[in-house]
This record gives sequence, C-alpha cells and structure tokens, in this order.
Amino acid sequence: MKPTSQPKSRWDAPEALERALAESAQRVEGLSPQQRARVRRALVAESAALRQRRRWVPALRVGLALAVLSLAVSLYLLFGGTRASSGAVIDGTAALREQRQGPLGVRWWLDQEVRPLRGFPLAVGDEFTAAGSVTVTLADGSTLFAAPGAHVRVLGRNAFFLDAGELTNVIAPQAREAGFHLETRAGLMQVRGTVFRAHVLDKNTAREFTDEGIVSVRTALGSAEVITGEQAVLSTSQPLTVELQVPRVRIASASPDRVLVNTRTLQLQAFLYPRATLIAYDGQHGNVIGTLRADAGGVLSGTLTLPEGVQLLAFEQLAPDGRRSARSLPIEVVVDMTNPALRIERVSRSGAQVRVIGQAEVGAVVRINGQIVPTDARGAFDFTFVLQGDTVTITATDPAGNITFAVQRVR
Amino acid sequence: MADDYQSDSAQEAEITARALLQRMVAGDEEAAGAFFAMFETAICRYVRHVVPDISEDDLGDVVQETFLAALRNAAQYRGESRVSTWLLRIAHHKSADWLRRQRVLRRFLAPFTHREESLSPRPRVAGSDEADPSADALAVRMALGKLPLEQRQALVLRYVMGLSVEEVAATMRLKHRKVEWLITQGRVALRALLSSEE
Repeated sequence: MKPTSQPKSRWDAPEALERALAESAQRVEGLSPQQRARVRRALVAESAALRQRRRWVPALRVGLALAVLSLAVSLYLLFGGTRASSGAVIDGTAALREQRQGPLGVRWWLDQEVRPLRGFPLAVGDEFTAAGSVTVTLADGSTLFAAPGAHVRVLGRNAFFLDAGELTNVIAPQAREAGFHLETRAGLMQVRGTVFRAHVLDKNTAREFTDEGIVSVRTALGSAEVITGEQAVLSTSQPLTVELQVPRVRIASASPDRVLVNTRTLQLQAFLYPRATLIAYDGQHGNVIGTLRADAGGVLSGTLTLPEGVQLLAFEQLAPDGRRSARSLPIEVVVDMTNPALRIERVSRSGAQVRVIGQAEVGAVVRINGQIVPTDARGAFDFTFVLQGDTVTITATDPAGNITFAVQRVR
Repeated sequence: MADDYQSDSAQEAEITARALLQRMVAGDEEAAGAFFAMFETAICRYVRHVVPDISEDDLGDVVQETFLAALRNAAQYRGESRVSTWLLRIAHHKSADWLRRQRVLRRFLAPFTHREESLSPRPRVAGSDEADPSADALAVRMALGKLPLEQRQALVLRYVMGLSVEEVAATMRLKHRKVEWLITQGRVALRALLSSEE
C-alpha cells in the first residue's frame, strides 16, 4: 500500500509569502484624518520653534565661543606666560606688580593689592611698592631694604630701578665679582661689595650715600667714585656733585632721637670718610665736646665722655683733605647716674603670704624677689605673694638703668 | 523602458525629498508638511507591519515622533543613504522604542488588564482552497506580530518596504550576513505560523 503523502500548505508555494506581504503593504493606508491633522500641527509648531531656535542659536554659539575664548585668555593671563627669574625673593608688605611674558615677546603685568609677602620670588620686570619695611634678598646673599613708599622695578639679576623712595643696599662681600647696579631716572649706581643707600628725591634728582666701600655713580653729565662717608647728588640737569655725608652716628642702645644712659662714657660707631675726624658739638651752645678719628676703611668706633645731665649732641665730619660735612641734627642724650628713690613702708607676713607696701620713683620698674609688680601713677605699690624662705628683695630700676636695692627679712 | 521610468521617478522623488529636507532645515513649515505627505504612507506601512496590533492613536504617536525627529535632525542628514532609508531608520528606532515602552507598561498593568487581540484573520470558508488576497494579507500581518522583533523588522523592511538586503542591514545597523539569516529564519517561522493556522 502506497503511503498517503501529507498535503502541502499553500504557503509553501514559491513567492506565496512575498505576494501576501506585498498585498498587505498595499492594503495599509496612512493615518486617519484626525491623526494626520494632529501630526501636521505638531510639525508646524516644531518648525516654528526650530526657526526661533535657529535665530538665536548662532548668536548663542558665537557668544559661547567668545566666552570660552575670553575665559581661556583670562586663564592664560592669570596663570600662563613665563617669568624670568631674577634670583631675588621679597619679604615684607608691598603691592606687587608681576610681569608675565607670552609668545612673541608679549608682556603684561598682574597688579596685586598690598599684601604680606614671604619669600616670594621676584622675576625680571616685576615691580613693587613697599607699604612697610621690605627686604629683598638676592641670590648671592646681598640684601636690599626698601623704606615704605619705595617703588622698585627688577631689571635683571642684581639690577634694579628705583623709581621713588629710599633703598638701602647691603651688597654681600662674595658678590664683589658679580656686581650690582641700581638705576634711577637721574643716574646709575654700580657697586661691588659695599653698603650704600639711594634716595630718589624727585623725577630728576636722586642722592646716593656710601656707607661702606666705593660706589660708581654715573649721570648724563658726569661720573664719580663715591667712597665711604661721601654722598653724591645725581641730577638730570645739574652736574654730578660729591660731598661728605652728614655723619650717621650710632650710639649704643640709643633710640633715634633721644638717648638715656647711666654712664658718662658714650659708645659711638659710624662709617666716615677714610681717616676723617668726627667732631662732636654741644648742640645747644656750639662748643666742641670731643673728636674721634675713623680708620683707613672709614670705620669709627670710640667713646665720648659727657657730663651728667641732659646734653644735645651734633656731629660733623672733617676729611683729611679739609672738606667738611654739614652738621647733623642734634640728638638729646640724658646722662642719669642717680639711683631711683625706693621707700619700703610695710612688710607683713601671714602664714606663707607676705604683703609689701612701698613707693618708688615714678617710671621705675619695681621687682620683688625678681617678679615685676604693678605700680600706680605715683610709683606706689602694694603687693602680696607667697614667700619661700624669709628674705624679700625689692629693686627699683629707672629708665637709664640705675638700680636701687632694699632687702627685708620677715619672720 | 518601464524600469527606466521607475528609476527616473525614484530619482526625482529622492531629489524632491532632499530639497524638502533642506527647506525643513531652514524652518520652512510648508516643506515639513510636504515631506510628511510624501512619506506618511510608507512610514505608516512600516509601523503597522512591525507593530500589527497598534491602535490608531498609538500609530499617530509613533508617526509623529518619527517626523518630529526627522525635522529636528534634518541638518544632520549627510545624504549617504536615500532619504526614505534614513527616515525608515528613524521609524525603525521609534517603533522599537514604542514596543519597549509597551512591554514595560504591560508588565506593570498585567495584573489589572485583559489584553484583547485587535487583529483577527477573517475566517476562511471551510473547504475552500482559493486564496483570498485580503484575508491572506491580514493573516500574514497577524502572523508577523508573533515573530521575534528582529526577524519581523527584517522581513518588513525587505518585503513590505522593498529595501535591498544592504539597505535593511544599514537601517537595522546589522551585518549583511546577520540580515540574511534573519530573513531566512523569519520566512521559515512565518510560513510555519501561517500553515499551522490553515
């Protein structure tokens, strides 16, 4: 018996599927009128929105590009660029103007407000205006002290420009070969291993004071070597002049304008012209009080004997060649050799507590067993403390350094 | 001669479509309308076959999303493929997105709803071997809906939309071989489904 074959599906016929799919494709229509209208409305609205967007998007893009560009430029200006190191660092309070250098030699400055600077490295082109005492330490150990108000620009390694104010330059001995130069509008000062001061008086005039060593000074109208104890006046319109400095005499433990000592022997120090004579005058009457002589290097160190009481001292220096400096402003020296008054009125003990009542000279510092005790405006004191032992030592020290002792035993 | 005519006509249509796209980029509302009119049926055809049980409202949503996306991205059209292929690719993604959303939705709503088949083939007259073209079309569309999505998409793009295998591969972003395999597998599966329903 022949097996009956399974009837084949009409879908097995060639192209049946394709025909049905094509037929299905033909039978599908578009959207319903409502849906079509909805899609059209949405497209119209989107087109309008796109048109609006296209209007401001280019402007926004340009704005964004400009913003990014300005941000990049700002960041570059703030943090970019190079700084040519001068090897110097600055300490003190100053307004700094940092120089940056970009490609093609483009330079710009970043102005900073007055702020404390601690070991900030100065680059070539930097400028600063000292707001307080400012110290610039150079790579070779030399030091510049800028007085408040001094405006200084860094020209290079060991080279500066003083635009205004006063600058004291202590050039390290090891920098003798390196050299150092300081410019002002009025002229140039060059030096190796010395101490000198420069003071810009105005746009056209500056003064240079050599405190130690030799400074070469040059202006448009001349040049000179200014040695210890001399000063030069640099000017754009006047010939360069060199004269003896008014002596700057340092008195041991002296304040700048008033000296109070408890000895008649006054210790003096100064840098003068080599082998110059320092003449000390009574500033009130003009009498010569004494003379001292500097050594071949201009260093003066000696003593002056004064009578007890208040003295006004003024100084002059006289060079071996007969030149004489102007006289310094008088300084008040008080020679006070009298011990301060000290009166102990009562010392009483209660157990370990001891009470001391007394009176000392006004202005004197009172100590009881080494401990400073408070005094009132008349110098009176009333002090209670715990005593170890049975001896109380009371001292009164006046501003000149004279001391009065009082020792009391308590039981 | 007829082929030449068809080819010329297709070329003209492509030129028109590209011109409309350019005007759409410039924000021309009329061009957007004309572009929609030009491709509305084709996109509906594709969506209805890939998602056979889609409602009229949902179809409107998918078509709208397709054309809005085309409008927004018209400036990015580089002319590397025909405009219709490019638009079909968008419709392909939008349909897939819609199906994904529906799957998620159904998963959450399953406990609360009873899904009814929206399409059902017209019952064939018993004993009749004669093919009814409209019934076959409906049956094949319903059977398509039971195929895995990728097979369905490949068959629709190839036989409903009339794309070449290369164009299908480009639209689906698949390799040529993979598309060939999908079409072969899809045909076998579709034939089996239709035969079993006879």
